Amino acid sequence: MSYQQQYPQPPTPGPPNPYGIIVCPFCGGTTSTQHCNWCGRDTTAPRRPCPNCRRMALVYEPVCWNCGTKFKSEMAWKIPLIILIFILAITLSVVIKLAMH
Amino acid sequence: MARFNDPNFVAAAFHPYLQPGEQLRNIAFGVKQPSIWAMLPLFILAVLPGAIATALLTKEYLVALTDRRVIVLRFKSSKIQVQEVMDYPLSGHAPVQSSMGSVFAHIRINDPVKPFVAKFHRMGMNGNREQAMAIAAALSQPQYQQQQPYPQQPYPPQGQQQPYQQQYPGQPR
Repeated sequence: MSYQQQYPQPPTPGPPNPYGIIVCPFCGGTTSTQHCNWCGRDTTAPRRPCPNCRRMALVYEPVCWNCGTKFKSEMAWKIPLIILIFILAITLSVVIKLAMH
Repeated sequence: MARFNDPNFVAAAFHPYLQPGEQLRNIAFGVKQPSIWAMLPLFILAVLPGAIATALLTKEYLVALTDRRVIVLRFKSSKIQVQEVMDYPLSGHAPVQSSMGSVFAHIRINDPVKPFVAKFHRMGMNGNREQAMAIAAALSQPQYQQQQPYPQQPYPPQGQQQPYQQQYPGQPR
């Protein structure tokens, strides 16, 4: 049995970056392709800063790749709050009408 | 009335997202409100909660034009806590629609991956309308066509072909 060293497949370069040579917003590496040569992320994709470590993460990633913080959707508290406000408003109007009669 | 009075404060919010050597040209403040058809039943149900719901569901954006791209920041609070960052190259981007009304300027980028739509109030910032118009104009410029490696020159008609004459420098014509 002969020794055969397995080399990893070289990463595909992908399409060129529309902005030329840029600093990757995620890892800070220099890249000239749309997908970073270092971290492999799409440098043109929508991204958001982690509230804990302030590093950038892709919008569709559920947790921060750097510190592991779980991202929370704003709608998780806004929708229940809106429903609660409407319930309160309707309840208040019913109470006022009953009190007037 | 204006959301931001200090343009330097707004410009500083973009500095962490600029590439080395990238320069800001125009900055505008815009909002995206929920659909009127979604809000109308809420307003009919109760006016004040409907207004609160509209305010909660309204997204605020800062849009900047640089020398190489358009950067969009979605943020919250007056301290500009950035929630999302998107950018669009000045050439080769998705189709853009823009319109100017008497109060609002509208910009819509029909990108399938990162669509963007916002309206920019005249009083949103100092010179907000002019800034939004400049950004819309930069996005609406005709995009660069991909150059073919060998441009195809149309051949002249057979009867009009000129005999080949090589011209040397200094040679009298």
